[in-house]
Amino acid sequence: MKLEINRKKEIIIGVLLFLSFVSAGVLGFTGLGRPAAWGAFLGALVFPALLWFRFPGQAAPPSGAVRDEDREERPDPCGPLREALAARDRVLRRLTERNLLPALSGTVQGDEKLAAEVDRRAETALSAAGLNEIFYLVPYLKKLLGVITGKTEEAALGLMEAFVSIQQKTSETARQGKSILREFEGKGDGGTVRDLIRDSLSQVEEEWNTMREMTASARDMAEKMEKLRGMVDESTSMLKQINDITERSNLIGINLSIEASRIGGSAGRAFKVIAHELNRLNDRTAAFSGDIARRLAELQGSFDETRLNVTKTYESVIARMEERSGMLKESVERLASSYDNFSRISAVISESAIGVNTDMDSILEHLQFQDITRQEVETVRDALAYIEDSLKAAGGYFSLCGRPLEKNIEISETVARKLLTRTKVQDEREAIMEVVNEHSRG
Amino acid sequence: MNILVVDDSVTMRKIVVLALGNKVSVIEAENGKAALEITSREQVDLMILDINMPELNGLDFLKEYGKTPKAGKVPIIMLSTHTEKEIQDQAMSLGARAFLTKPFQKPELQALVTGLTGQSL
Repeated sequence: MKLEINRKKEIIIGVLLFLSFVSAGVLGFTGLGRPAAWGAFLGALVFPALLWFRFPGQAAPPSGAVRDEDREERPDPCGPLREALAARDRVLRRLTERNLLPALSGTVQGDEKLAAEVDRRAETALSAAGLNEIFYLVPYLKKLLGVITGKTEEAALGLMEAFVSIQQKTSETARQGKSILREFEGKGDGGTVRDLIRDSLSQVEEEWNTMREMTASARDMAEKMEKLRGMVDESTSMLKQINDITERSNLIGINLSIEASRIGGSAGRAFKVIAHELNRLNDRTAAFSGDIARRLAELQGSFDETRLNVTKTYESVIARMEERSGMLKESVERLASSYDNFSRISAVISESAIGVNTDMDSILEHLQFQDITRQEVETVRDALAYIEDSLKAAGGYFSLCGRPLEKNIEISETVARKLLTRTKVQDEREAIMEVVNEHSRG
Repeated sequence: MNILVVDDSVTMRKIVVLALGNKVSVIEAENGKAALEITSREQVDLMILDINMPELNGLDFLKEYGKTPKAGKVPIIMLSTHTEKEIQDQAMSLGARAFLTKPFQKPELQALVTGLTGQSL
């Protein structure tokens, strides 16, 4: 509607200019000279044309800009405010032109009323547009996003640090395991540990066999001593027979003596000599027999004692050797088994270390996604900061109304209360309270 | 081997450091301006450079670094979220030797560093 009115005005002005220039031209041809007449005609053509098309810079608004015509047709929430301010400026200008401001000692009653009216209208306009709450919401959002990005970065760095620690420890464990295995597998004079264990097992077997042989020898010796004991017993038995013979020889000797006495003479003397010699032989035989019997008895005792000692000693040694050999064998077998287990565990640890490295690569890749997201959130925060600056500038404009927007702590606290009901983390609550305090101080 | 890692994100710098491993010495800078200062006084064998950074971004750093006597002597790997060919071409025309997009994979970065320096990581 307004567009049409403006265009009509322009057409009327153009027609009037055309007529005035035509008149000037006619007058020029008649009395003022031809150059002036041509000038008038040219003006009559050019000025209306310029008015018709207007100037190109004015006619085509830049792309993206809101054209005046379009703006006129939309409801302007700040319209009442602008009008009020314009009215206020007009009043002040008039007072200034008439030099009435000094006379009123810098106080304009009408201006105060006007300011109050502007204030009321501004608040109404801001409230209608929801700008007052947005003005206070933006700093909170900015602060909360700051908390989120800060915590995200902190968590990412902490995660990396923890995982690097795990990676280092796993690698170190795998390295030590490999080192121990290398020592086990290392070729020395005695070969690998596995060879040594095998050799030890062979040696244990060998010792075991030697002990078995010794046991057999001991038993053999005991058996031989038993036989010798038997021979001694036989000798004792034979000695008894000799004693019997001696006793009978004694009887013969006695008979010979009796016979020698009975015969008498030279024959009796001969018998007496023989009997005497026989008795002496019998005495000596009996003495020898007694000696031999005593010695055989001693030998028998020695044999019994020695056989008993040999048997006891060997049995004891064998029992201990058997026990120790068994323990040694078991230890060697357990060592061999432990070695095998350790080899397996070491291999598993090495595989785990490789797995941890692969996982670390994967974590690094995923953390990049997280960091990119964090940076995008930071960009949003920057955009909010821009909005905040713009709103603050608007707040400065509205502060002409007498009530600076950025000092409306009631709205700030209302927004904070709403946000606090939705928070889940202490950091968020602290961030919100920080903004409340900033607004209170501000 | 000294590698200069230029990125405004601490996390990303740490990720790059971990990806490079223990065989190299890493110097970190948070933007192009700090990187210019470091390159003027430190011996650097390779640079890994982000694009979007405050104060002096990666492309502007390349322009400024191109004016110094060391220009062209140190290989530069661009590491950025930019996938646009125009930006990649611009970086390469300003002296970068390779372009790696984020998120990168560790073997990719290691292969590039090895290829440009001749030293395995």
